[in-house]
Amino acid sequence: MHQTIPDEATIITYLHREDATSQLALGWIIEQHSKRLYTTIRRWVKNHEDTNDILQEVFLKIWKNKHQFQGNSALFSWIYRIAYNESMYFLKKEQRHSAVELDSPLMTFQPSSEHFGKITPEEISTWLMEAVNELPEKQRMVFEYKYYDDLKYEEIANLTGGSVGGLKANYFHAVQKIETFLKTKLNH
Amino acid sequence: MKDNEQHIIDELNKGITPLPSDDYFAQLHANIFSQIETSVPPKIIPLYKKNWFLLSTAASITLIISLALFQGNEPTEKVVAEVDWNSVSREEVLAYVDNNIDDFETEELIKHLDSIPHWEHAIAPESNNDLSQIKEKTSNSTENDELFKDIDKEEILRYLEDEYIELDDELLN
Repeated sequence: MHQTIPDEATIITYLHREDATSQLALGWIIEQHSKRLYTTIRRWVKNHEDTNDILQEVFLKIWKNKHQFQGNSALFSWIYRIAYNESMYFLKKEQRHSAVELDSPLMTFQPSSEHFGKITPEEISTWLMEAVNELPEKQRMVFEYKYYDDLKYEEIANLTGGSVGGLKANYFHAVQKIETFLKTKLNH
Repeated sequence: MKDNEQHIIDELNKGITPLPSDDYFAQLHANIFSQIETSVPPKIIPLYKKNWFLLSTAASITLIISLALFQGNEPTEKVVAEVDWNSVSREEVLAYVDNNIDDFETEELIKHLDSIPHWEHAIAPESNNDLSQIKEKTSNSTENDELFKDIDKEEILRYLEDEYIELDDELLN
């Protein structure tokens, strides 16, 4: 499976074909983005089983709707949108907003923080997720891959398109909004 | 923009999202493609092979042909207009009108009286309700006048009353 993956334009061209090369393009997309999508979805739904189901559904949706993608945005932006919509639909259907499993990553305050020991990991994790969900899509995407995955702006630009300067601005505004949200929660 | 400003999120330990092994992702690849290959694409049946299409096409063609034949059998005004009325004798016209008087509208008959030669010698006074013409007709010596020569005026009026034939006051006066 570790084959050379062509550039995005080639992948999109192959994906739109009606022969075996279309499935080849889907294979490239799975290999290129499955791990990143897994961690993203896992952050939202908090457990492996649901992440696995949603992840498969996302790739099936990509296959079924491949002709709807016309290349007006970066391919991963489109994929991210599908993953986000599927995850939020799942959470809404299950009426779960923070079903946390034992192996789920929880946010905790560092000992040096004034909030250390005052807020439970479940609370802060839930608040942070709510704050991120209120962000516009582009800001949310940039924040998640910069803050959680520590990607460089150049790497994020390759995924989402856009300039490094624009992405920095997106991240700055996202952080400001989350800061305001958390301060409101913490001061109550 | 100040990147060195401390934010609440900077005070958090983010944790690491657990990632499955490579085997999981290899299996993920296989699972997805097995679902794609098992979904059979819908069979496309050409329209001309569908029974309903063939039947409706046949019915439409039959209807069109029927309408065309029906149109062809109807006499048109043009055909009527091309008939040479000069080839039809007065007696034939009068006989036809007399035999089919019920099929004609009185108003239409009155309109075309002048087109029939010597109509004043016709034998159907009650169809035009014109007493003056009745008098005139009875005064002319044609074979039709023979029928009325023995009938006097009073008898005619009584006849008209019995038949409830409405006469214009003007005509009566």
